[in-house]
Amino acid sequence: MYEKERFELSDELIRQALSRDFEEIEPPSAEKAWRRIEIGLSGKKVAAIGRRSIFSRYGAVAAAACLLLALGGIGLFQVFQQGFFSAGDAGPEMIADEASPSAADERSQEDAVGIMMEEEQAPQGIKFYAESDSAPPDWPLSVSESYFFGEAVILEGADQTSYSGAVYHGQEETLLLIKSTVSEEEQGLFIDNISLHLDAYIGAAGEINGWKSFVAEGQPGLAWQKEGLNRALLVLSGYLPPEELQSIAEELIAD
Amino acid sequence: MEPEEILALVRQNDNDARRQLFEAYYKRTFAVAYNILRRRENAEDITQDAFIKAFQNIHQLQDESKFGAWLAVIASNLARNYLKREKRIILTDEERELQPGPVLDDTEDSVLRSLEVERVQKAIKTLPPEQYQVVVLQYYYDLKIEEIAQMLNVRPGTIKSRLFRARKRLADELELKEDPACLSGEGGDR
Repeated sequence: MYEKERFELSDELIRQALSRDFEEIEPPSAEKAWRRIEIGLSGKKVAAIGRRSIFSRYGAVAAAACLLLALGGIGLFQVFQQGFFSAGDAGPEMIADEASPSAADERSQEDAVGIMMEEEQAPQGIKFYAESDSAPPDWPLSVSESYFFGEAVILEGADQTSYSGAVYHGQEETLLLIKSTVSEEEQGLFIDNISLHLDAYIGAAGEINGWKSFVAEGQPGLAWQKEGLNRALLVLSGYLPPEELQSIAEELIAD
Repeated sequence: MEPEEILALVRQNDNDARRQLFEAYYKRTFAVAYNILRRRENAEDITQDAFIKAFQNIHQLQDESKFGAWLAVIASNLARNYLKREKRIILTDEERELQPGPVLDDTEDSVLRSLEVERVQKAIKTLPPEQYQVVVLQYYYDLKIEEIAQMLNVRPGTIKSRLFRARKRLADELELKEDPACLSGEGGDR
């Protein structure tokens, strides 16, 4: 009968166990993964926030005068997704197991392998997202399996309204997903605020198939409410038929 | 093509070279992410992000021969931080279907050995992310403690401590009585 104590935990045994584990695993399609990596590598890196609208930044609609204004608190804020390399709070399991005098070392591992998220220098008047601010929502890493998270932003107006936004890159289109944290906010006001925050002309909102639709700088957008809070999805660049945008929005609602 | 040549091309943003590295390291990088996250979808995303970050920051890799280990560090750090953001405590393990292992000689010793390896495989999955990370770097990528410490930007003592606790945890999980000398983390046969 096999006895558990018959073997020793040798280095070779651990090596074999790891090797077997890596060999046996069946990852998702490599082809699909590579395609996403290529998209990720070709995605436009967010440069310093300048006097360009988010639409022209992403090469969209030729706008006559789409400038970001840093007056009166209106502007576009850039958030760097700090989660990947920030320590944050360790989970209880980790704390219990890592009681060691090297706590400082743990925090320094934020910069492991020397990969730093380079902070761009913002033009004066535009505030970076600060660590003391409340944490941004956890954005999905992809939407509709075709658009991948690029950057997180904060849109803040003079009236203290604040929206969180996330830019998603597809092969040819770029989308902006916006979430409001203002409860009981009238939807029309939400869309108006988006117009102000983005310094973009938004025509009168209409309705398509039960959705609140609008056009921002010539690009389609949709607004809806989820859990009492306003959401919007709009196309920043490229071409996406409204019905396809609606399909993506439906998936987001379902998540 | 030698790894150094491939990496030289990657530094020049050669897409074919990137593809070669991706194909060489995709599976094991996914394994590292999956063993920390225990969710295929999340592991898939983290793996892709790890490659993107590695390629975008390839200029920071000083020793080409350590690319695999470096990539594993990126992936495991991303996975760890994802867990922290999610503040999710892993209570259950998504049991995955294992592919059949390699065909072995069916002698009793080889069968027993295979069972031992399988037990250690399962025990390794119980390690917390920080311990799993250093175990992979030392035992799979054959890095020395000083190399691991440098790569993770922590003190060598921290690495020794993690390895010690990892081996102790494995021994406990396997219900083994280990010789204290074997728990040193240096490895008896390194």
